[in-house]
Amino acid sequence: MKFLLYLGCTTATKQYGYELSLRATLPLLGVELEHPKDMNCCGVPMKGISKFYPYYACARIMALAESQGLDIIAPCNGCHLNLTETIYKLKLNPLLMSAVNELLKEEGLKYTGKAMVYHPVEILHDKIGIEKITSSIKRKLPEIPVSSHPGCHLIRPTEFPRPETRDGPLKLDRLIEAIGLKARDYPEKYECCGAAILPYSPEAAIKTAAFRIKRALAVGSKAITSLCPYCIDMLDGKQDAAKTITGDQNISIPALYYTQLLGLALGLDEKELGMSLNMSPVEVLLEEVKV
Amino acid sequence: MKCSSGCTAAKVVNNYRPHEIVALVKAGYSDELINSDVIWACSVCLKCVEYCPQRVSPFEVVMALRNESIARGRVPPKSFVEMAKSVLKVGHIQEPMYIMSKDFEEVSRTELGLPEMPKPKDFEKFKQHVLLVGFEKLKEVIRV
Repeated sequence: MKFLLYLGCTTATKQYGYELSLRATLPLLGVELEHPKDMNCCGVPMKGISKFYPYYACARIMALAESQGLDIIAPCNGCHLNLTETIYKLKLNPLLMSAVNELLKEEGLKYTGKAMVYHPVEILHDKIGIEKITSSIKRKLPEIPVSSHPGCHLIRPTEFPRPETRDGPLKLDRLIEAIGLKARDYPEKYECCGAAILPYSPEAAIKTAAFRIKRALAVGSKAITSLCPYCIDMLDGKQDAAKTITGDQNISIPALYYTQLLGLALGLDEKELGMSLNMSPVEVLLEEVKV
Repeated sequence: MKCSSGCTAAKVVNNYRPHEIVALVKAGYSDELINSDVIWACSVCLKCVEYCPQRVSPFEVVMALRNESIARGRVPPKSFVEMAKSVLKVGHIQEPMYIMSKDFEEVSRTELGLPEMPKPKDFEKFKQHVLLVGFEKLKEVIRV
């Protein structure tokens, strides 16, 4: 299995722990990752600026993948949503499709709708499979309660297919249990991390993230895990700011990528998984996991 | 109002209520909304899209208002301007940053052994297209 790794802006410019852990774990499970030579932003944060930019931007990304004959892994929920939406909308609207291709033609590209887009949760759960993961891990992690935060765009909207659904157990939760940890539900599981409020009001955004963390702590979770760079940026990176803004000094919980947890189970070194880049107290979890 | 009761932004931003925005548009107050910063508060969680029993999508209304405000030459909140500038400069909303690790090392992609972040190959053509699909008006506003 070979895929084009379309990182998107957030992962490639600051969430290096996600990229490092993806690059370290997926090849061990038989997934080859190709680094693109030409890439652009998917356009998710620019939707408010221009309705049409995301279609052009995403079709361009997929045309690049098509030119290499590869499908895409998009590790960011936002990118994954926008790419899927573009596939769906361009298929339904031939006029939009030809308008986009008109532009791409000038860059020597063509989008036909052949390239598929996958999120790491689909790669791990649907392509690799729980069985292969269970048989590949070097050691089972202890039964520590961990809360998953799939992130909005992994489940919404229901207008077109999303990797996860609210009806029934999450793939992410099954993956958590596959490496020995215990998936612990919490009331904010399907809520938004607040990342997209940051440009309007950092304080409002951080209050949102703080609320999620508090509820995870309240149900006794020992960590929060996600596969979205925006969610982890908020839940991991903004804990200090959340303490200052809410005045609640108890806001402290390890927040990390599922691929980092998976890496630990695969026997990888925490340095290789970029765990010194997490801002939350991941060392607390590492201590518990090591025994 | 299922949209506003579920709304992520409504819980933390006082004057942001998706049902009110839709009602204001219907009552003919689009201009007032377009000239107000409140339309930039949406967290794009898409819950309003899912919850509305009448299948109204307040999210789409808010995005249309944002697009219209840009088309009329209004300046969005600073971070959006920065992101748009960066797209016109490197093709991404921001460039790779230096991050302080827990061992007090300043690291970026090179230090971590990660390959360079690719840019659009024919950048001038890409930029021309981005301007064409809706950034043109913004270009005048932010002077890039």
